[in-house]
Amino acid sequence: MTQPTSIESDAEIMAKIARGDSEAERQLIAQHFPRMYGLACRILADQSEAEDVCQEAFIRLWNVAEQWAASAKLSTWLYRVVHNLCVDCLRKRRHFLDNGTAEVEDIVDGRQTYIEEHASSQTADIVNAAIMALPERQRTAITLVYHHEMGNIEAAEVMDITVEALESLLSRGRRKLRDTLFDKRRDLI
Amino acid sequence: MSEDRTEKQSVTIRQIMLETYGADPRRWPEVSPDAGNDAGAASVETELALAEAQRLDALLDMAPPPVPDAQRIERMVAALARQDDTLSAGYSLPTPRFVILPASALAIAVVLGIFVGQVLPNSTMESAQSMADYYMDSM
Repeated sequence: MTQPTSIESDAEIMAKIARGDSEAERQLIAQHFPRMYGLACRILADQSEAEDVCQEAFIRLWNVAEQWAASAKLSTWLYRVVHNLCVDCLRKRRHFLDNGTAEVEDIVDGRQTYIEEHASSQTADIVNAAIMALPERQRTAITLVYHHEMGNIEAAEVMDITVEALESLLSRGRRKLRDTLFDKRRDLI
Repeated sequence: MSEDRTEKQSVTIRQIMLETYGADPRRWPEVSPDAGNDAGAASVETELALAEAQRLDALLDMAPPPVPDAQRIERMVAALARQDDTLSAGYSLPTPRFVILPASALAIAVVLGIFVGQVLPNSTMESAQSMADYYMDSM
């Protein structure tokens, strides 16, 4: 896991990017893109869309480089933009699907189907399917706090919710995962 | 009595931490310093919660989020470098796919509408006009 940068070094990087320093851009992309991409994939379940979202987030960051506030934390800002863009993508999907296509039911009731269709003998695939079958906000919370080891305050800020709401999502998500994984496949560890 | 209550509170906090954040206290937020490490806070329920949390954590560790490979990272760097070149040349930014597709569909619909209007034979247009007249007369 990449170490979080200090706010001071974030300001330095943004100043370089504002001056058009391509090496600073490359370093920033290499540092933040992997986790941004992981979060977007978890929310959207689509690698191409996840990549598009990350690209848009970086474009927006370049656009505000000159006005970057020294007190802001880069990773939180980027994560929050990625999260918001992903939510917008999901809303657009639902809008298109709500216009009478058969896929609406597949998405709405897809959790059990996803688990059954994508489960394989590989434990990782089973666990991944169970995570992807969670409601979007629960799997976002678990990805941020558990897999990306983000603090609860920062994760709540990314999702624009209170810490209490975040903890509710985490405990409900973990409970669902326990119910899914412990009951259905007792041979998993 | 107060020691029992403190111990019970500590057990409860510990269970909540386990159920919410998992078994590793490094993921826990700042709580009472005793909640994670107080051996006296152990109970049957807490031990069960710890075992379940450890089991779930082990499973979650097997399924981390996807990580982009080197090729995808380079593609991102290249795409954003092209954005910079485009900006410095004074052109507008290319738009990601999730904006292009609906806009393209609208443009195609407009072009088709103009094409159909130009190509339809007069008889078809006359039929359409007579149908419109019929409905207007019947109102």
